[in-house]
Amino acid sequence: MHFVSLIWFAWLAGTVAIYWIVPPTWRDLWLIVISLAFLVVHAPESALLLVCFTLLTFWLGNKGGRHSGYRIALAAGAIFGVLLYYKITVRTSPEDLVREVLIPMGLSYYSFRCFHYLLERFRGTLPAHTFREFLSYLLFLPTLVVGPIHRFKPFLDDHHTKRWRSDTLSEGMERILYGYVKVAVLANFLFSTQMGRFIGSINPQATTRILYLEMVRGAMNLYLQFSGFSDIAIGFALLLGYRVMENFNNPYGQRNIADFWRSWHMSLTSWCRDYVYLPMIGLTRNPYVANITTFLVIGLWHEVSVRFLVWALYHATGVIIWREFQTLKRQLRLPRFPPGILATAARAASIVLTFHFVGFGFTIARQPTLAAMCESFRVLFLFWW
Amino acid sequence: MYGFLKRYLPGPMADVLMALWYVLLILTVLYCASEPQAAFRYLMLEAPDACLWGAYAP
Repeated sequence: MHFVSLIWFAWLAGTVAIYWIVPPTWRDLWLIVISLAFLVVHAPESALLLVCFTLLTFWLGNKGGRHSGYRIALAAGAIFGVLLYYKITVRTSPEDLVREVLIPMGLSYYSFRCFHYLLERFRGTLPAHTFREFLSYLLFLPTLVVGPIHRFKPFLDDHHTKRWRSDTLSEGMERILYGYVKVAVLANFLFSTQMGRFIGSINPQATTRILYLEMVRGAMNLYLQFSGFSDIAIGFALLLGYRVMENFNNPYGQRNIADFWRSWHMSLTSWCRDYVYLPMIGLTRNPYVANITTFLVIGLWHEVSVRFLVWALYHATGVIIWREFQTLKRQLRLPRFPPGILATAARAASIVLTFHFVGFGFTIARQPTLAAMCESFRVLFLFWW
Repeated sequence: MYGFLKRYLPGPMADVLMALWYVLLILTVLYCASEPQAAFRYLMLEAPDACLWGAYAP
């Protein structure tokens, strides 16, 4: 079932209608059943893994007693092992790029939700809950496939307070519509198809121009697709009475790379801030090490490969250079631009520069080999050579 | 947008304009969705595999 298909619309409408028709105590059960059925039909392997993860996480996370810390570590280790296995083995050669199903559907998202649950359980910050509520959280249909990686406590709050509200329903439908506009109109039609045709009509000898336009097209397409699907997921959750966390906040309108990472895939970056960056700062007292480790986790979460390793180090270097530049500016007491045309031009230039830095990062992540990465760098920046 | 229209336009004008806006968006989505749609996977956009009306045959 493709997300942009009539069957999907019918299925979505049917799920929401039955959800509100059945008695309130049956609603979460209905969602659990329909989520499992969805996974069993589309990705049986993923359904099996998710059930195993759910049982393992809840059982070892809630056993209590003297060795509860070890049990939680054991559950986290087992989930990490499975995630790593799929991330390493699935994509081993450039030919694999054409395979459609790469890892079990939604594995990266629900394994990070399990880690979140286990870590918060270890810290003792989770409110009292039942297995059914935990099951509803992990098998929450709107966020199952493409996130956001929402948190357990806000989910539980919504779970207890949700009720039929026409304004929430209307907001959800509007959000889904805007999501589809992003995915189908802007990303697929405008950038993917029309811009693709335009790039195809350019003289093949003009490699720099083609690669540059491909970079812009890829960056825009990726953002619009991903934020569009996030909008659909958030809208779908609103239709069910839940408000899940936002995933994007105008990332291409940010003025520096640090702000970009605060507004891009926010559910993943905030997860990494809470469970990787801050613990690493506490452990090492070294922001460089914490920064690099965080970006390595973000990069390897996408794929365990050399290109994502390079992509992670590229962004970590960018953020470190930006922070050092800020420190230097403070130390040298460099003056700010006075308000006016110069300040506006500087702001616009910083937005354009940030976009190009990020766009080139995506070009790195798309190249199958290190040699192809170097070649794309040469074509874009050393084209006269 | 609705709040803005409601503040500056008389009577049910804001509701009518919003309804027209949504109809326009839905029609645009339906028109554009008949083009091939890329299967989504974060950072790796796959080849077109489907359109709104079913499987896409290249």
